[in-house]
Amino acid sequence: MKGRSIVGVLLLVAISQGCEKNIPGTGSTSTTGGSENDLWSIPVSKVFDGGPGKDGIPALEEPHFIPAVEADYMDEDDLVIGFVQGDDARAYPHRILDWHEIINDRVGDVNISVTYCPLTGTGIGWNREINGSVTTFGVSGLLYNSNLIPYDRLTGSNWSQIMLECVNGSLLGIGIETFALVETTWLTWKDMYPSTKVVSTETGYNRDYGRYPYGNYRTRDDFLIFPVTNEDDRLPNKERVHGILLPGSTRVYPMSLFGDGVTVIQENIDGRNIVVAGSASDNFAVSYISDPIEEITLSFTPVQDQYPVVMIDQEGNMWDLFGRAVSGPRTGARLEHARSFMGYWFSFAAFYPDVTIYSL
Amino acid sequence: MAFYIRYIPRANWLIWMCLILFSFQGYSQTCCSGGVPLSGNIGFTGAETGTLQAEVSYDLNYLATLKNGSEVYPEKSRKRITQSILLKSGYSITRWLAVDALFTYVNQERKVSIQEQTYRVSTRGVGDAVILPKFTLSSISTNGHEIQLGAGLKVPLGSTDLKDERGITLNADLQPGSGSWDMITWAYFARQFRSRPSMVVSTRVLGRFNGMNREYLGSQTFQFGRSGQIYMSMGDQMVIGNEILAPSLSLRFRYAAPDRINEQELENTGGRWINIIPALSWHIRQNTILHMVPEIPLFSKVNGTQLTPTFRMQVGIYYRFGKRKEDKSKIYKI
Repeated sequence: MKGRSIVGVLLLVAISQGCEKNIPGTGSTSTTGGSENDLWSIPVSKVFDGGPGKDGIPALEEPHFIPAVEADYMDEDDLVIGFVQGDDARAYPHRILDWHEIINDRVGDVNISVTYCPLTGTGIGWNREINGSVTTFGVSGLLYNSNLIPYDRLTGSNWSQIMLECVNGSLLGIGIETFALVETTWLTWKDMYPSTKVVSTETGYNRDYGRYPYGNYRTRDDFLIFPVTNEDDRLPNKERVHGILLPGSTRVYPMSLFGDGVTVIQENIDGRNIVVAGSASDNFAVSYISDPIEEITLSFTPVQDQYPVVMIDQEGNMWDLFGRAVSGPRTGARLEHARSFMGYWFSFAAFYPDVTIYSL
Repeated sequence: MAFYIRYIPRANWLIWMCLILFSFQGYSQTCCSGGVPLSGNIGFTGAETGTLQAEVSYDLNYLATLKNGSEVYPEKSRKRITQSILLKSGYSITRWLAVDALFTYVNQERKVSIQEQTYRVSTRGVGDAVILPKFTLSSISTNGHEIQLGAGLKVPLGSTDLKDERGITLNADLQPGSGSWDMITWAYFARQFRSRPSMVVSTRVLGRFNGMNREYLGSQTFQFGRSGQIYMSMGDQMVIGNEILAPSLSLRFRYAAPDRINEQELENTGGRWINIIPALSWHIRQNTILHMVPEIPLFSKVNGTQLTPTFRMQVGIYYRFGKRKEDKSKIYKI
């Protein structure tokens, strides 16, 4: 009987060891492996844990690419994010990015992170070279305004994808340099760049890339998974818009306003000449700053059916999707990339409550 | 060492509890099967009027299996570990009416290991509680079979807004509480073998109709998926040396609907599971029983891609307050 008592006592001790000491009723938490800097430039009370945890959504590192003709897993109306460096055209499909959110890649001598937030629909190319050091970005598992917060692996600093700056950590306040990307359908992208490569599904991770992992999120305007700081009903929440961030102002161009062919819009916003080219039927929009060159202000008109050329100016220069003059007297010139990207309307409204909407 | 089987010509109250209460333990879980075991742990079987029963258990739920539907992925980078202390008590108001209560203390941990780094977040605190009134329609001590029905409430005592050390509100999965009042239905059917009264077959059916947390992340609504469970069990008693042991084997079927945020279904939550539960109870004193309840997944088909239990284990100690003595004359050797 004494032996049984000892067993009973041991069991109770084991149970009590399993229970970490705490004050009942309050609850507590502990974390390891996060950023050690507690200062945030955004309200930390509005930053939420997304669920999978830090790196629970694994970013891809220099993934394997395959030629377009081998990409059997892609449908023609699938959205891709395209990047071109020299003759190297690469497509980063939403099908892959929905599961990984960040692809750290090296294209020629460019170190790029293609960052994509499935909840805000924003795909932005980030320069991985910061203060002279090359880093990679991972998924922090945190969200602000329902938007991805990447972290850089060199310093552990947290960044806001849409704000394009570091919001926590030793790089707090530093902005990120962006690269021009084009979001469009796989069909359009292949048509523009037949020699393109596309990320293979052989990513090193088992994921069902044929399945969208957020259910009806894309199509339900009333379905936001995380709270946002500002809601705006001027447009449906999930309407895809092309947004341009300028110092002091933000402007969006709803995709639905572009015509079936290429449409070019020129505007002066806060003293900057902006040119936007897009097509609703081919599902893309790009924008560049076209400030006067040698006191000459270029005037653009759309070019149809000559992808990747989308516009021509009064000097006869033909400009492609990435703002490069591919023919004409200014061949080789490049328009300045506006800090712009595609996204769901609600995400621009959440971050930039004073956002204006272009209308015809 | 001699092996004995106890034959019980008439149902013995204490042996019955040994067989049923501890051998057929089960669990209910929340969204990704990593939550606090609540409804499955409620429900002592019937006892005489004025009997108070109590049990303290430690429950470990280890989730390291990543599945897509019924396919197991080899990836091992993510783990969810839920450890719970369960304090269960039951009081028989009359022979036909009893009330059970379950209180919990929960430690939940999430680990992600990637590129030689491990990120860990854990929370702990008082979890939700369950109150379950139940009625005995037929008692095994008089009829050879038992029928009990119950309906109760899960009371949201646990926190739902715990933050990490940076002040960031954690996901619902890591909160000790669900923030909702849930209805729990419970039914229990058992029958002893005439030729071998110590052997019992039983079925337990549980339904959990979850309410909604209307203050999730301040302004959202969150509802864990409603779930149903069926346990099919068989148990017996034997004597090894001088020790009374009660092994049992159960199959547990569980269905969970997807969780919902703002009334929209969340992908990668909910599914179907079939587990096997080989349990063992050890009757160490007249009124005291130790139990060990491992749970091993046999089959599961989860919705989408999610972590699912790799194994569960519960150990605990039961005590009945009272002076009823076991009738030694009812023990038979073979």
